[in-house]
Amino acid sequence: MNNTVKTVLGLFIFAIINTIYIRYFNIMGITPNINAIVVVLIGLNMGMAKGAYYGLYLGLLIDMIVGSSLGLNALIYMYIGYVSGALAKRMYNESILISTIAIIIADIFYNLVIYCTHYLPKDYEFIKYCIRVLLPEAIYTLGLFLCIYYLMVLIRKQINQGL
Amino acid sequence: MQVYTNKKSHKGKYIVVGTIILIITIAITSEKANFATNITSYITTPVYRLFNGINSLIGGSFNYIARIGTLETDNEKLLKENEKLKYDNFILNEFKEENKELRNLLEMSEKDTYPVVTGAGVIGVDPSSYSKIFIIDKGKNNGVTENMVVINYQGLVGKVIQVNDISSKVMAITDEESAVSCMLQRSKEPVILKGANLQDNGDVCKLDYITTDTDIIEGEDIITSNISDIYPEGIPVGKVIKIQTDSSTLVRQVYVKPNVNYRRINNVLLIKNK
Repeated sequence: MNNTVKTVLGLFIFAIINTIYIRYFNIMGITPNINAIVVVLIGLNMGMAKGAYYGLYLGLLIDMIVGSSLGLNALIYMYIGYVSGALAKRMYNESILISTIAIIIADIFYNLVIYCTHYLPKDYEFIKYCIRVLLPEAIYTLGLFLCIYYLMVLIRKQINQGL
Repeated sequence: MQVYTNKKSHKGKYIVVGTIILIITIAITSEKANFATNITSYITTPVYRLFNGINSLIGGSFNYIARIGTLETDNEKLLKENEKLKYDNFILNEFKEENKELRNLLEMSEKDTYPVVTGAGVIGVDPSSYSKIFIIDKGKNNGVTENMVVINYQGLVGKVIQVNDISSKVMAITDEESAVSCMLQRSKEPVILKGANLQDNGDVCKLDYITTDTDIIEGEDIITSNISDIYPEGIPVGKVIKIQTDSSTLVRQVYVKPNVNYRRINNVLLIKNK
C-alpha cells in the first residue's frame, strides 16, 4: 500500500472516529478543532500541494458526513493545508512553536469564516462571538494539541529507554 | 529556477480553480440533500456501525467488570424498583381509564399517542462548535422523511433535516438555526424556543419575545405547543433556568435547559410530524 492510499484511508477513519467521540470533548458547547490540528500537521510535514489536497479531502468528508452544505469545510481546510505548507517551506524545522502558532491561526481562521457565513448575516455581535467561541475554542484546541504532543514525546522517550 | 517558477504558478492556479468550484458547489448544494452525500452514507454508515459496535462491546465489558461486585445489591434494588413501577403502572392505567370515561362524558376526542415510525441509533455528531447536527442510522429505506420529529425518553431531541437512503441528519433544538413552537406548561402561553448553543453556558435554548408581563418562573417546564406545524403537542422540551430582564426594553432573556442530555444520547425515536 503506498503512502497516498494509507493517508486517504487514515483520514477517512479519522473523520469517522472524530464524529463519534467528539461529543465527549464538549465543554459548555465548545469542542476542539481536531481537524485543524490534523490538516496543519499534514501541511507542515508534507508541503503545500499535499496540505491543500488532503485538507480538501478531509473537509469534503466532513461536509458529506455531517455538513449542511457541501464544500464549506473543504474550502477552509484546503486553505489551511496550503498555507501551512507554505509556512513550512519558509520557517518550519519541526519546531513546536511554529506548529502551535499555525494551529492557533488555523482555528481562528476557521471560526472567522464560520462567523462571516453563519453569524454576520444574523447580526450576531463579533465581540460576543470572540468571547464565547473564537478564543475558548482556540485555547481548547491548542491545549489538546500540546497534551497530545507531550504524550507522544513521553511515549517515544519510554520506547527509546526500553530499547 | 524557471521550472520551479512554473510549478509554483500552477499550484496557485489549482487553488484558485478549486476555490471557484467549491464556492459554486456550496451555492448549489446549500440546505438540501444531494447525490454525493447519499453515496457517501453508503460507505460511512457501515463503518460507523462497526465502530459503534466495537465501542459498545468494549464499554459494556468494562462496565460489567466494574459492576461485578455490586451485582447482587443492584439486582435487589432493581427488583424493589420493579415492584414499585408495577404498582405505579397499575395506578396510571386506572387514571387512563378514568380519563377516557370523563372525556367520553364531555364528548371530547381522545388524544393521540405519538405515532412512532422507527427507533434509531445516534452514530455520529458534527465535530464543530457552532453546529449541533448529528447522524442517525435510519434513512429513507426505513420510512424516515424530512421534518420528522426526533424524541427520546427524556423529551424532544430535534427534527430530521436531511434524509439519505440508510442514514439521516438531525438538527438538535440547541442548534442556532433551530426554532420550535412551544408553550409554558402552567399558563399554556405560546412561546418560540430558539437554539442558543453559543450563548450562556452552551447547549441551551432561549425563548423569544418574552415581556415582563408574561407569567414565567425559573424551573418552569416548557412543552411543544398545539399550534406548531411540525411538532405534536405536549412533548417535554426543557426547564427555564435563568430569566434576565432588560430594564430599558422590558424584554426578558429567558434561557431553557433541554431535558435531553446531548452528550449521552445513543438511541432516539422518530415520530410522524403533524
